[in-house]
Amino acid sequence: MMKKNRFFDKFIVALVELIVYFYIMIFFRVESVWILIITVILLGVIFYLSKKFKKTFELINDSFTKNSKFATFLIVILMIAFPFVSKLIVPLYIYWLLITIQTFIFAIVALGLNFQAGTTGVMNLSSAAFYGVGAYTAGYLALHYKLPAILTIPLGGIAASIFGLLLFIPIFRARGQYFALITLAFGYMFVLSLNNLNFVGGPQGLKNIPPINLFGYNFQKAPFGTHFYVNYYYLVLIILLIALLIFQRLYNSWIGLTLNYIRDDEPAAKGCGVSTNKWKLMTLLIGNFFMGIGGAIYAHMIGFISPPNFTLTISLLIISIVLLGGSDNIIGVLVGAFILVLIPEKLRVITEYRVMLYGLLIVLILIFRPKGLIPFKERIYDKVIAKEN
Amino acid sequence: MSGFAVILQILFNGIMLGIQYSMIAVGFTLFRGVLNVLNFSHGDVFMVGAFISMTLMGAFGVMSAAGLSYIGLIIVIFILSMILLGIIGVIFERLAVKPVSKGPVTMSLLATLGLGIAIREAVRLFYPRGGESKKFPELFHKLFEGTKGAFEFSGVIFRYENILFLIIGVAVVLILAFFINKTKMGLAIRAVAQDAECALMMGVNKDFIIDLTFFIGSALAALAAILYGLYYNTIVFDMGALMGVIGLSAAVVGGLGNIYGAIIGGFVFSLTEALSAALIPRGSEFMDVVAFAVVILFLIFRPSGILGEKVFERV
Repeated sequence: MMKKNRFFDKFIVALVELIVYFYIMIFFRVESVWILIITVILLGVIFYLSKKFKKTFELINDSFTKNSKFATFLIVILMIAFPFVSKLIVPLYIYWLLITIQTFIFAIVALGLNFQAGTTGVMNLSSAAFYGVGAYTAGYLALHYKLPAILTIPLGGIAASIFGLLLFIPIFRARGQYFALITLAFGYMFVLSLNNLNFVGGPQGLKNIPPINLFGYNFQKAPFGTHFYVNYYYLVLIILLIALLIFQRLYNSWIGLTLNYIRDDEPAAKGCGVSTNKWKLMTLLIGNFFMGIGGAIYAHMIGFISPPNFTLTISLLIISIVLLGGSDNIIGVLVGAFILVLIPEKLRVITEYRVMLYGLLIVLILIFRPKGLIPFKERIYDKVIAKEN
Repeated sequence: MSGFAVILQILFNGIMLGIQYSMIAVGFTLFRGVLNVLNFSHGDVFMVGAFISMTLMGAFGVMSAAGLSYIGLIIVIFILSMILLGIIGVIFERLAVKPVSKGPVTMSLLATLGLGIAIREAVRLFYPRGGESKKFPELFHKLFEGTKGAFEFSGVIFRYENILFLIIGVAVVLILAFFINKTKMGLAIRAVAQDAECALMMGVNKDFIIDLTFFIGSALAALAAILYGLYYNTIVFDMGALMGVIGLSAAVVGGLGNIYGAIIGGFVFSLTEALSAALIPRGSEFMDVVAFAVVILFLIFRPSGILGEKVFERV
């Protein structure tokens, strides 16, 4: 293989990222459904080409792995520029900004679930309930106690963790399917209770939740002649990046390895002296914290929450995000959120059929591609061994 | 009302619900026996059953024109809905449940949850005005036309219709128990449940037995659906979701894999509901919450259920 210089590698990385970025912009801009069909065809062509010209694609892949820091840096810059670039290109950019924010919120929640279900293998089927705990806590505290958002958002996360603690500590005796069943029952109990408890508004939910006001900066104000969603966009982006950083670090550390061990063989892990319950509880608390934070931001941004936002259907949406991308795969979660939250907005025609398609999608993934679109890679610690293989 | 009457009323309400829950729970237990799945779509299959029988009753006029007597009509509706739903259950099993049954149980739970949502939404979208709640037609009203339709016993009113439900429920349980315990087919089902490979070696057609089990389970769900419709008079497209969780919880409380356990579990769940509806202030709103809390307690302290055997973790 020829010797490439670093600059060439970086050029390739930047080129690929910019092409994808502006393709997404065009995707937002074009109104008709055709763009989706074209996208699918394009992806098919790329997939075919990647089989045909393996060398070239390996080259690209290589330059990404070599310059992963540069690649990440560039993506972050592009994301920061997103509201302003999209304002230039996309006429309906406010709408797409909102959709992007929702995608990010679901990505945060799904990262939390991925840590629980993907990395540690504790199947939590009530993610929407914890998401709801965060939303209701933040909304209630902001409405009735006039707490500022700097407090309500972390408190939403903490409340989700505390609820998790109350639910999960007693049920650690239950394993696998029973654990899943209990969390499912909890999801139902949560929605049933919300519907019947008056202090959280019953079926009407909480209305007029005040918008975020950070250190005197009102999020309802539009910066630089854009729209006030831009504020929320940056907030969610920052939290998403923090979540990504934390989960990536956890995954790569010995903690991630321990958690994978618990997922793959719990009795063996116990036999090796891993206190499985402690680790599982930690996973659940961290995961729940991020679910709660996602809910809290959602409550502040939309200003209105009600029980239907937190039903089992939403839990299944979050689970399908994790499964579609590939469980225990952080990039996969982002891809899953993008496909399942953002793309359906393009298909206004099928809004009615969306929930049905989610259901079918879960079944189809589990039958035909149980490891998801981007299956997780084996951990490789020794680079020399990796090369020999 | 005297204290005795209150207790009687609670018991009777609980039993009426318990019959329906047990029939769903039996399905879960049967499926869990022959395939290693918790088939969550069962609740929605139950809902489809309610819609099928309602549609069949809509064709009442056509059928009576074909010269069927009133009793004949009732029997035709019961049997036809059971057979139709049985076939539908087998189709779902072939398409989606069996393919995922080889993976871990939680995965199959997830897959069948997805299947259930797909079924529910399909009914909402494709049944004429499927999003609204439907009035379930009466079926037995002509049977008791001359009478008052009910009798009173120490202050509690029992409707003849409900007594009939009770008889049907008991009869079905007895027939099922006979079928599972005394016939060759039942023996085959039990054999597959105990050790599928060994049963295969002994010449049991495993795939056929799985189909048969799903047929029976779904047919029972159809029966439960008719009873549900006649008891509540309304059906909705999303009633199966809650019913599925209730049925599965009942099966687990009774002990998965045990038919009598499922029946007991159904009654435990329904009596908890009836008791909390009567005894707790605003209980009727929170009865499901209380019942689920009881289920969770059961799962914590006795995960193998009332009649289940203790299961050890295999390494």
